Amino acid sequence: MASSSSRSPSKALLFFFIASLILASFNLPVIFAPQFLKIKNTIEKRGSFILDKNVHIETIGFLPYGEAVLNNIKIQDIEIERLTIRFNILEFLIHKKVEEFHLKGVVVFKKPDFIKPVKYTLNTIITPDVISIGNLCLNYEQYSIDIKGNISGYSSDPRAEFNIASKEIDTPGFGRINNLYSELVLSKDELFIKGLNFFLDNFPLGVKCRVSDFKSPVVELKIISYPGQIPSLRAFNPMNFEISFSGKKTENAIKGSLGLESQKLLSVDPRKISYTRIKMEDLSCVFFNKAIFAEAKDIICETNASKNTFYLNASDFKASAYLIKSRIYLTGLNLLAYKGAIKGNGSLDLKQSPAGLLLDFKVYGMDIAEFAKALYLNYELKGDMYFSGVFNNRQDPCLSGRMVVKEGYLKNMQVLSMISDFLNVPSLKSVYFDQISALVYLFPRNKEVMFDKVTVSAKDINLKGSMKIKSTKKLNGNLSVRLPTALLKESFKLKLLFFIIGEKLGYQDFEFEIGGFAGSPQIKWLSTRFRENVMKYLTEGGKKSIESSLEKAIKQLL
Amino acid sequence: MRKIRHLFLFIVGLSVVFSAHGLCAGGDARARYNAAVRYIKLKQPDFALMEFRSLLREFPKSPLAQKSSFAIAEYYYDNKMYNDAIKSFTGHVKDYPDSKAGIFAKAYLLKIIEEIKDPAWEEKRLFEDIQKDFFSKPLFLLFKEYKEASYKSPLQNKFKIRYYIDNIEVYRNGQLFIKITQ
Repeated sequence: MASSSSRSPSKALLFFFIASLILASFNLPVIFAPQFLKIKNTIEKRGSFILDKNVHIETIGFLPYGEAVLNNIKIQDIEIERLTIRFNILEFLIHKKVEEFHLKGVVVFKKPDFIKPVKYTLNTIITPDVISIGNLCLNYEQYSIDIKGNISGYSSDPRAEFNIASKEIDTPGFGRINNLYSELVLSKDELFIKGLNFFLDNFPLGVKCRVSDFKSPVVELKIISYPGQIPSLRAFNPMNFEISFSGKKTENAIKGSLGLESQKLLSVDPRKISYTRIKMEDLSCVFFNKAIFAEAKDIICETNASKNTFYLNASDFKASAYLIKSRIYLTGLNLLAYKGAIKGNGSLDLKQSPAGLLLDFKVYGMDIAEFAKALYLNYELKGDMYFSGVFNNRQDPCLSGRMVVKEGYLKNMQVLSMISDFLNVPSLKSVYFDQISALVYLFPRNKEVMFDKVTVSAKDINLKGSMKIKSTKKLNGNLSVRLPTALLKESFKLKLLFFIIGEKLGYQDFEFEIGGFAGSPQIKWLSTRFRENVMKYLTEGGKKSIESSLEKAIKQLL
Repeated sequence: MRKIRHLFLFIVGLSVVFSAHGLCAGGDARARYNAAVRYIKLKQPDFALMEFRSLLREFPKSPLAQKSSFAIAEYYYDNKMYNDAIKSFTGHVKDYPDSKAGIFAKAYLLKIIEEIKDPAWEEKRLFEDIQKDFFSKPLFLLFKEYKEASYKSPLQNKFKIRYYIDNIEVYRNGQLFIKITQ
């Protein structure tokens, strides 16, 4: 439908002429345009209205200009001592009913008292359908935030879309935020942060978040480091991590699942791809100030290093976490894994590269057979494992502690099987022990695990030694075996040997050096009094006979 | 009856001819091998190479073929024709897995890759695989510091390999050729 002005141009011109005469009496500049009449507020004629003692409105010409001061406003826990609004309408477009406002003011907070006054300026255009925010600038101390966007459908189905940008914000207790840029959409049912990218103390972070159903909010949250980095580079980035959460807010807790993925959390080799994934299912979190009390029914940990993948499945997780600056502290860590319990305290420093994970923990009664499966051991180990140690991924060794395995057995360990064939003691092939104790160290730099001061206490058998195992399965260590002479004499050959050398001690010590690789160990019988006697009394033929029978036995083992 | 006798005589005759040919073939391989070794002793390795090559080409199933294969590879090594040497030693290890010379062929491969200034990625990988292979069998040293094995090649090189607890030494003509550590 055409407008009246377009149907009758002469009437429209007459209308504009009369209007210009009226406005001219107010000394306003009038601009004719083909589609609308635009009045610019630049004249000096003033009017004044006092609505109440706090709100004072002035007019310049017939467009309002003024200042409102509102005192003691309370919104939930926030108390605003004084809210000042200086406003003027910059443009008034008659034909399209577009009004452009300019607001300027300051908000002075009474509570919380640490928030200092916030100055603001707002340029906005209001139409019947859209409120368009050209620029909302908030100034807090020396920092500023710029917001642009629009609010549409505010009469029926309101929807707000904003872009938020800030060059620098200092957040006390958390860090300095730089180059913040965010796109967010807010509707009646949903808040969607499409992307919130910023540098926290020069560390790039990205946040995506969707909150729906505001009555009992459902949250999907993802926090990633280096959000703009391409996947092939992310795989080698030691500072790369991703935290994801999906859950629902209930009356007094947030329930859902939490995932953490980091490429290099447990590896310091920047050239190799590795990852650590931790997923918590049936997670329940209660927040109190900066602390979180968390419980999870299931935890699945997966870490991949040197082409091997290790899994740890745990349940009944409980811990408290709280954030101080960029460090997350964990206290009262408690979880069940492999029929045992793990308890400890720790911290995760997000400022370090890779994130510094420190754990002081104890293991109680873990089924080592189940744990051994996860480590792909090529021998059978059974017993209840106890461990007390510290994990610190920023140190070498990253893991150190004391391990004790109680009442179990050790079967088909190749080194012991070879020694068993040499000594003709079958009980060394299956050692039923009362206790194994060892100091355990994990060296990520050399990619090796070290078992030091190993002691195996079993009936009639006592083993002592130390062993370094590299990620290439290379072995380096020593082993001392003490056996009762009576047990050794069960073998006819050894009985003869004892007779020849006249050995009368109640027990014998055998020392071995161990090298080679797991699966193909190299063992050397080291000098002891017994060995020297054997060397002295045994003929060359006798030695060759022992060696060849041992070689046959080893071939059978393979 | 007469026909049967004739048939019998024919079969016998045929088998005599074939076995004579077989003997002759075996004899030819041996003759070629002996000739090649003679050339080596006369310090004429190029002629020896021709004999070894023709033996390998004409009698690939002869027991002397694997010795010839190793000899050809050694010839390439001695003449610093490393690419050909790598191919030949690798082929020897692959074609004759039970060869006594196999372990020395691997030692040669390690030595060549060590001598190459900028080995390619494949060569580096080959080096690591062979190095690992040297320690792939269990060893138990009871009364000696090492376990020893020896081999004399068709090129008249004398090899010794000593398996220690933490390393392996390979000697060629009494000189340490290569030391392999874990």
